[in-house]
Amino acid sequence: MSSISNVSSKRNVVKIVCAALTALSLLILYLIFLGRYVSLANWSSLSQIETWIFITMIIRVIALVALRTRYQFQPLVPIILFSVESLLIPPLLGMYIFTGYAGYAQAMGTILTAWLGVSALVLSPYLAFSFARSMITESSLWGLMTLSILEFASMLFISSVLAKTNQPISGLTGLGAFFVISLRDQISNASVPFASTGLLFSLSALMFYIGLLAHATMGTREAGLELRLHNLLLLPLIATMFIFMWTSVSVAFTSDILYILTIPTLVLAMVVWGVARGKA
Amino acid sequence: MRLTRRGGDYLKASAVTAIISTILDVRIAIALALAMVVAALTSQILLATSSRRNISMRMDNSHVTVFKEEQALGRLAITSRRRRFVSVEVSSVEGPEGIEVRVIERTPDYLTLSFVPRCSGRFQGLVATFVLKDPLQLFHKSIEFSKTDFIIDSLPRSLVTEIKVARPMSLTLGERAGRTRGSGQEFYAVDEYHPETEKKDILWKKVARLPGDQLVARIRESNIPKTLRIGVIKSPRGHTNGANNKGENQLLWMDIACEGAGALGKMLISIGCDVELVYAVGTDNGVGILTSYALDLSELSTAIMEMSVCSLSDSTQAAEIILQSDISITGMKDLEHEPLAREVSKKPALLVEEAEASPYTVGEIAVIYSGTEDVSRLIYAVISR
Repeated sequence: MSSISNVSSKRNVVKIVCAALTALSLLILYLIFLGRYVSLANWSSLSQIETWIFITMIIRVIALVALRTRYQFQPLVPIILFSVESLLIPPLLGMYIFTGYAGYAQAMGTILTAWLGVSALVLSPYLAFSFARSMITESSLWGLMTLSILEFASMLFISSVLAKTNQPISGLTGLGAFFVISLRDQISNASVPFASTGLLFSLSALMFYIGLLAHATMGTREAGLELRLHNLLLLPLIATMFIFMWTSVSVAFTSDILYILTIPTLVLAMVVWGVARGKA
Repeated sequence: MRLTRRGGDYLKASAVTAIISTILDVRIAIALALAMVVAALTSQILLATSSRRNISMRMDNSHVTVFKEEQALGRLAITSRRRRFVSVEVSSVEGPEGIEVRVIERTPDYLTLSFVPRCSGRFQGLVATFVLKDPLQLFHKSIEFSKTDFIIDSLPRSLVTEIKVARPMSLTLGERAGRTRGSGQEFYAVDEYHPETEKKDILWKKVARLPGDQLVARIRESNIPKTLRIGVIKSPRGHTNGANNKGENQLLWMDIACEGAGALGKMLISIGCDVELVYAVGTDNGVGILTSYALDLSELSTAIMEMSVCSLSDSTQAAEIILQSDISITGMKDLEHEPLAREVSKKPALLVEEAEASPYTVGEIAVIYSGTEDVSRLIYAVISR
């Protein structure tokens, strides 16, 4: 019995370490973004709408964190709570259509862009913490991985676009508008959206990779009684070494990530699934 | 090899990660997806190369002896040479029909098993199913191991049940002193003269010395046979026809036969006779007749266990067994066969009770036995012949 509890506690430690590592990788990206925003932001012309959204968003995050320790919420509750501003858009749009008064359209634009900016500023650390928490509690790996990619991609986006600009950003609406413009430009230019270089970005990516790979291979295992974690560690290590070798060989033929990484991944997954005859 | 639930989730996660990351061009996440799949493939190879050659199981005690319905413990040691990477777990252990096997304690190295036999007799074999899982627990496969040399001897309760010994009162034949009054040659005691006492046994000199007119006579000791033979006949007719639940019926038949042999044997040994069990047994050259000799209860229990795995006897072998034995043990259904029923009816017989049996004939000295009946009548009939 003691060996089972030892393995179980070891597995929990692995989960916590992986979650911490992944959260840290997201926080590094957030800190890059925050540092850059603080240096670029112009707070002098902050409107009342921006201030209210900013303050209420902080209150909402604190309330949710505090209440979450006591109550179990439906997943929809935080989504509604954090996007109350977006609910104001349809009535404002209706008013604008009926009255034709330009103030409504302006208010809509301010609310939407301020909300985007505030969300990036206030919600990002909360979402990183929430994701790390779900790494410990969530049992479905595929849901978690999907969430992790979206989380990492959004964090990488806000930090990398801000890292590339030197123009001042006017308050929170300016930040929101900057994100919208960056996203539109990158879609229209069909460029690689989140490709960033830099030591901190690389460090964050590495931590994200290690944290999630270790979590996928070791953290979500069920009680495999007699297998030791250091033996298990060999598998992600072999896999990482293989990727290094594979990419260094395959770049000689093509630089297209689709051929180097995506297609081999899908083909291998099919092979593994096929050999196991797909019985889940 | 099959995917586990986690395996399905893991592969789906890898594929979804690869697709979403490609759309968003998050390269580190595509690399992560490939790493996950490579790790899965390595893990799969490790499991695929693990076979029964890497695993062995051993029972600490390969021959367990226990009384019917009592619990015996055994330890099943498991050795795996791939334990560092492949987890080995015993998913089920099955004993032969009639034995209830339960896992009492489970560790990675051994299982403590409890065996409770429902019927008496000798049971052989143990089948364990091992589930092997890869290091990442994405796949699993099952391997079945059977241990044919494992034997459980379930002794009949009749060997420990208190019995009333039927001591023969008047005997003439036999090679051994019966330790009771009888008609043998040996002096047993001096007692008052009774009309049934032979006149030549009156001790006239002693009578003359006695003050009154009392007559005293010499009492002779009884003689009993040195060895009595119990024949067990299992005919093909009674054991291959009809029954829907053949295995269960066979077990019950042998259980009652063992109980009967135990009751008869114990009684004979307590009287002072040696016991021989006569039965048919399969050999390399076909079915032959074998006898197991028992001088005491320990030897009797061994003999009964050997008898419990007896083979079916054809009519010639059955006739030979009946001829050699003093008491026959057979089933009511076996007596549906006329020649066998006629042969059995000539001697005392213990008949195993069977439902829906319509025997051709049952001898006068026969006990229809269900496991609890008094069998002393048969003993008495044999010894006082």
